[in-house]
Amino acid sequence: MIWILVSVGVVLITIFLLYNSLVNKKNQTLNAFSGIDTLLKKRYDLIPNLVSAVKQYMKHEQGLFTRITELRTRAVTGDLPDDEKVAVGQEISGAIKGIMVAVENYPELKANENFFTASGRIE
Amino acid sequence: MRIFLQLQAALNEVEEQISAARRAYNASVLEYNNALEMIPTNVMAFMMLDEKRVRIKKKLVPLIALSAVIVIFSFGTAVCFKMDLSVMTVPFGICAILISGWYLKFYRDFAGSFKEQVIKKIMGFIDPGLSYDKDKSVSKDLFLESRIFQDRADRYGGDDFVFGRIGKTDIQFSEINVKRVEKTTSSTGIGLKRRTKTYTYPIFNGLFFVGDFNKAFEKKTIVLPDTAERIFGRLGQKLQSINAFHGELIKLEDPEFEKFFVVYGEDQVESRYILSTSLMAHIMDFRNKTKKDIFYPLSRQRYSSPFLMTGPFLNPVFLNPCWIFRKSKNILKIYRSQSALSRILI
Repeated sequence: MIWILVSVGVVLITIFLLYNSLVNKKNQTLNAFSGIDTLLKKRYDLIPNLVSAVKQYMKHEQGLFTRITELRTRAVTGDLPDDEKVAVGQEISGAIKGIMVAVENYPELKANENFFTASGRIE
Repeated sequence: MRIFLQLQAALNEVEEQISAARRAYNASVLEYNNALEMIPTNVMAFMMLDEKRVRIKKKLVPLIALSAVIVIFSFGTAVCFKMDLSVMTVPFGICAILISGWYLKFYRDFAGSFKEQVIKKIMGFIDPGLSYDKDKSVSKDLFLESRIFQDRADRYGGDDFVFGRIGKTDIQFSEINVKRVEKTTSSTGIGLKRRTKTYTYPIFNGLFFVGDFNKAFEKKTIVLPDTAERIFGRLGQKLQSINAFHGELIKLEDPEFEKFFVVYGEDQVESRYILSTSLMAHIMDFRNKTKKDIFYPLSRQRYSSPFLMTGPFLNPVFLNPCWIFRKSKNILKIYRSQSALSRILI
């Protein structure tokens, strides 16, 4: 009799532990996702600065700027579902890369930057 | 311009952090999925399923015993009282009702959850690109489009729909059951009472496979097993050249292929364009492996191939434990050969 009780107890405890570990793992994934989310938000805050910093030099890349601003407003204002959040984030990554590549086409920007860093060192 | 430099550095940093966070997320998702699918939880689901099976099996045993008692008892009384043996239809009818009641109430439910829990996983395991729906089937339009059978398809049904994408080819297959219904009216003499009798003739019952074809073509070509030439030889070939339903006979240059198959098409050139040497070799190879008659109707960018099968295709046998699933080997064989065909077509 006691053995039956013990084995039932063991089975119950195993089920309990299994269930708990599953819930734990699920929460971990949610946590990891919110980690991505906060970082994405951090990047969204940097975008307006980037745009205003290079806009005046790069008159020919207006298309890139409007696109990235548009994407940003979409990401910041709307409460998007998770998979869309990731998709918008990826698009913004692409847009930022586009701007970084475009920067190379504007030697005055680069030159300026080199000048300032150089001058900074001299001071 | 220092602002820009700082910004660039900040953005790069965030970008790197995001990719790290993404990796962390992926790792935790993987762990969670593994825990969900791996042994303990899965085994629990399986055990529950098998308990269900044992339960419904137990319910059947007294039913069969009861039926046997009813039949023997009524047979005994019929013999004792020298009654006409046609009375026996009544006890047989009762037994049939009992057992079909069991089927409707318990077996269907069990088969449903078996398919949901076991077959779905098996299909996912065979190829991750495959999905499974236990209730749907290949659509009637696709069946009709293949134009392989000349009879009217009055009743069309099926289940165990498997669909998905292998490489770049969309494929689907399911069990289907097609019947033709014929109604005959006859007057039975006295009183000129008209009687309508309905007969159903099976047209096709088996696995029906449909896949995309890699070449663009307009007209229809059909590859049929060549029974006439094997039996009647030369004369058979003469007979074959007349077939109004399928179109013109296409004589192919491969004698080995010609021995086993006969090809009809609506366009001589197009049919030869479709049946390339590699496709013919594959069909031959498949035939040699299965030793079964193969049909390949090709029409409108698709090829389809029906397999005649005996018995239902993916149903559990309630006498065996759930983990003994005999038919999966059969399905695998058919699936492999078909997906090999799809790969050749890509």
